[in-house]
Amino acid sequence: MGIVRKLFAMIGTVLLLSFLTFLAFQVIPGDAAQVQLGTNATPEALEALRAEMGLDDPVPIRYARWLANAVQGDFGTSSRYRLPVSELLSQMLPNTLALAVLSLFLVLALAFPLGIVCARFEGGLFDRFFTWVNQTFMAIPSFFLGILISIFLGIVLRLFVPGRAVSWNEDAAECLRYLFFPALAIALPKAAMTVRFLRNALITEKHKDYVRTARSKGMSRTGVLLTQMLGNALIPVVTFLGVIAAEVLAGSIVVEQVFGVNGLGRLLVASIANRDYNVVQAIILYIGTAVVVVNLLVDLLYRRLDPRVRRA
Amino acid sequence: MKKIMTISLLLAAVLTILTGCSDGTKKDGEKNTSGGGSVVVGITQDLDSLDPHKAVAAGTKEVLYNIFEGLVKPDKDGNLVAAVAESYQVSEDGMTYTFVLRPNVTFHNGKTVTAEDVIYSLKRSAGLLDTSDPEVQVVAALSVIQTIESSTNGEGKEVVTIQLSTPNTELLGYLTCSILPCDYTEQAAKPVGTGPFAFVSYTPMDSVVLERNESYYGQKAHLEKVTFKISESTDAAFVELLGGNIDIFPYLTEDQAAQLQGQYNIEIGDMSLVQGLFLNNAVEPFNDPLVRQAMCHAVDRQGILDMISGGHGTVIGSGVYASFGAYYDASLADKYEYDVEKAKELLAEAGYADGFSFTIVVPSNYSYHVSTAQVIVEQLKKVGIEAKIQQIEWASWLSDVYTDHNFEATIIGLDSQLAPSDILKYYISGSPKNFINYENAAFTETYQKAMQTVDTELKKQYYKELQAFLADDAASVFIQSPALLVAVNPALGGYTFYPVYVQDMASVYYK
Repeated sequence: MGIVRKLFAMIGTVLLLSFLTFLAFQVIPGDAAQVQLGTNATPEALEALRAEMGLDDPVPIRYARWLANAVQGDFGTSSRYRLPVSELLSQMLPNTLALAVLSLFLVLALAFPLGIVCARFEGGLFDRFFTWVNQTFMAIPSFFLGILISIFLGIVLRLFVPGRAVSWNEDAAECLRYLFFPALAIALPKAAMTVRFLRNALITEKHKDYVRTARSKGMSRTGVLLTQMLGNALIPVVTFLGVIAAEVLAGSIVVEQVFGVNGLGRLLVASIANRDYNVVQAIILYIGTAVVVVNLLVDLLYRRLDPRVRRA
Repeated sequence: MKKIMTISLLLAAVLTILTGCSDGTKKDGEKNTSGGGSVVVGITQDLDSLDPHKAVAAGTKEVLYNIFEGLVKPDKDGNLVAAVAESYQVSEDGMTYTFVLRPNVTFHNGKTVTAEDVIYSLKRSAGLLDTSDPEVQVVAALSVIQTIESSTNGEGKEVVTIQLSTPNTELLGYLTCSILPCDYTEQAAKPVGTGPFAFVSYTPMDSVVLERNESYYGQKAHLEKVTFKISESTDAAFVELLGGNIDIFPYLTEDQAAQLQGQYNIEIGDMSLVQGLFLNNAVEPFNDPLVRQAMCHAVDRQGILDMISGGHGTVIGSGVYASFGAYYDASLADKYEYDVEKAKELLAEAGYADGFSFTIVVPSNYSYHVSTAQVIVEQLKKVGIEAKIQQIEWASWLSDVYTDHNFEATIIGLDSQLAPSDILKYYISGSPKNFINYENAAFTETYQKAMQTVDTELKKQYYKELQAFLADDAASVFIQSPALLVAVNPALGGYTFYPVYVQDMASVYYK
């Protein structure tokens, strides 16, 4: 399938997503004007504010207007913060991206060595110990791990001050230092799953003919594992890593809340509660784009890893 | 195996770097004994607007109190004291208010406050400007203003005279309305007021930073810098408190307060709210006063206090809370004593001998009200009433419950200006604020009389009558004015409670 067709499918997906988001807001009660005026709202003031915010036009017109502006890169103004959406996102997006990259890095840094060692010494003490550790970490949700990390590493060991998150735009180094802990909360359960995936994939490969051939030609166990088996075992692992990448790029809503990170996840939740359509649309658009782009990258990576896909 | 070693060494190294830095990050909370220093105050609500005339949320007003002042402002005893005005006078007939402006009061941008600014601000709040901004919260009580004029008195000071169309002796409570510079258009982005602190910066969902107003006309603030740090929830703020990131946090739960003992001083005040199980008087079965009375007997209010706030808080029996002092009728608090048998009798009389079922809608962002609902559900089971809790978002609450009156029962806390007419405005027939659909012509009539009377004794009498109406009709189940549990860094002194919902940082200092 051609790349061009894939790109069109991607754009279609994102458009559909934005339209569904828009529709969802028509279904839930309350609107931005009502949230802004709160308990002091009078019918006249609500009317006037709705008119000012452009909320009194029919749905198709509003969607068309939003789309026309969005295509030109103008995502409108936040009804809550009275700031251009792009400005608001430029404050939050770097934090979420930094957290995502750091989490992914931790997942890879932890999962690959562990997965390989576990598969190499299958059934050994180390393998059995880490199978048990993995199961434990897979069972703990990230947000709970986040709370544990805040308490043990933050309050008991005082390695960081929970809640004193520094923004990327303010001080990138300080920001990363703080984000290490939420990234750990996100990465550990995912790394545990990746270790399991990689280990099982490697063990499946282990019993295939080409391994026996390589071994009988005198190649060492570790040598076969690293040069021959790893490449083949990567195919299912890459799929799984793609899912993880899409997930962390979308912003870990709950972990951001636990650690007070000023990121997209928090903004998204707050904006839905405030019925801040423009902000929600922009974030959903970003998440949708992130997911389809990651999927595209995974597809491309397949072609590199698997000659059969390349030929097809 | 070697790889594992490398990784653990790497992790250890990273952790060491982090430990090294955590000392460095302490700099913000540095102590300073000779006045000065900075504090971090934890809040759990993002600000809805920085323009004080547009802000609605109580959580925003408590922050903006430090930046803005009205002609008068509330003190800690619930009196209104002169602020931008130097003195004021209310005519005996309650028709004319005269304010002498304090000379040389300056806004944070250096401009001197003039009568023009005062007139602009009042007109803006009253919705009397020629070009109106739909976001400005028009204060309905100010609609009695007919004209506002400025003049100069014998001493050369500026005087502002407010003439009303109908007598109103309680207008002063609404004249705490913030005074803003008349020709300044950036209020919502970079607010400018006259208060003891000036605005520095605001980061959405993160923080508001204020600095001391060095040219404040009155007693200057002790602290040089105040940061209001926005936390996601009380739970998130609690972790930050444990980590020492917050110096003052005003909304602790009882459990949290107990855990913080020792690390923080816990100060107990009053939230100045009427918390109630509000019943929609227009729907079955709550359209029957007998049912509502039965509900009042079936709810053990002291039991709620014991269960969720360690017994702190003040049980109330009508729609006014205790901070209103002379206007508050304490005798109504035990009008409906907790009595399961009595409740059952009343229910039988109303034709609900087998009880009934209904839904309590609670805004999910207020965990305090959610806990209250849970206790009430258990209590009502004893009289055979099955209540179900439905948690909804604040935006849905505003739309479904408050605006559309589409609910059976809800739990919420009502706040107020320093005027008894403000806390009772929710029960006037036909008013859009009357979300419980309470109908009592005598109440509405007495309310008008109370607002207009100039005789203080008579006024108190009227307000007590109004509270009695609500209690007699069992308009709703009025529960309590909840206790406010505040964690304060032991190094700090001067934290002060107000009978309105504010966090005054001007009085706080390092001991």
